[in-house]
Amino acid sequence: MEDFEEFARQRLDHTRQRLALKEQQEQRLTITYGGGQFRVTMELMSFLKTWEDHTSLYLLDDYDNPVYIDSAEAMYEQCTARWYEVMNNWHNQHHELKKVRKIGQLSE
Amino acid sequence: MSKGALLLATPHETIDYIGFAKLAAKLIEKHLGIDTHIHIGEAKLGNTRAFRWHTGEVQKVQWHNSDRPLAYDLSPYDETLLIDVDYLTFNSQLKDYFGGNHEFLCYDRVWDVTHTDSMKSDATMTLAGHPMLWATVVYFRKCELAHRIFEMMKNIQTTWHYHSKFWGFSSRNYRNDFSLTLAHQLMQGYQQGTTFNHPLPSLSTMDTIYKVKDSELLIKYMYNGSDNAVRIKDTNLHVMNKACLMDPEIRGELERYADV
Repeated sequence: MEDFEEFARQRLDHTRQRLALKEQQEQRLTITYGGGQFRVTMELMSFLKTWEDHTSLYLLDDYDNPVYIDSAEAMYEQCTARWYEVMNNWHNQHHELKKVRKIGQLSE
Repeated sequence: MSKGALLLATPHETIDYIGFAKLAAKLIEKHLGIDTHIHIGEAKLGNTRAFRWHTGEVQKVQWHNSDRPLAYDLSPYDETLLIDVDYLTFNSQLKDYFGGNHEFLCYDRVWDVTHTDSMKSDATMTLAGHPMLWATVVYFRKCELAHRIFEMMKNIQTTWHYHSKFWGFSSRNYRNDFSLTLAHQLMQGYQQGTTFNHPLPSLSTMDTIYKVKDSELLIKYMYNGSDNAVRIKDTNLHVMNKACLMDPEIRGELERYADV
């Protein structure tokens, strides 16, 4: 039974580690643009990418302030750069997690 | 517009708050690239607090927390991050708040990095369940709103017993989180004000950092009577367990990382 207990404990640790990883990475998925603060989401990136007619626009930021965006393209680039940076790091840490039995082994 | 971080510390007989402040300042300079100002206040006796550490030991200590309402007056900056000395900065996230439209921001939620909800009881502060704000990290710009919030905190501090009876909380100790919560709400016209858009990453007094490797912290926590571990990396952390920050090995590694 000890093995079962140990296994269950390791599963719990892994689940909590995944949650911790999610929270820490999601916190980093924001950018500032034009004095506003924006959470980088797939919706925002898709919207910016499809903004065809004008290069400038107004967007509501995370604090519900209408913010002047001088270039949808430049903002899109900033969003994708942050997205790649965070998601790559997230993926690497997630992959690392899959390889260990105990969380303590992560920093060995 | 000048910008910087303000840290308030007081000499203490058992907890090295001044040393914590110096470490926190180095981490802020490293990751946020802004100036820091450490204000060493006078240790005024009166408030006491009991900490239960991860070792099970309960330690009753003096709690010198009366200077926080003076932060507006003490800050030499136009834009200030008022940061607790036990808050360790490991990324540049807070830098994003400078130069924006914000006047005053604080945390309204806490993220217990062990996911054990250790700080659940701090979600509210009164018998009626008034949501609590955290004074651990506060951003403010020199403006009328911030000035009035801090002035109101001073008022609440001097009329602490009245407010405790009026709102329905224990008046035994003056607590800045409570004072800030009330001042923030009153000065917003009895409405919820603006807060950071993410929760405050925190470690309770019962959980401990047991290994530091650069910006990676390995944390040990108890759950259902057994030790468990979680790792955080490049993540800011409010370390309520001051005992682990005084562990020579942990402190040494943190200092080494901050100095690089």
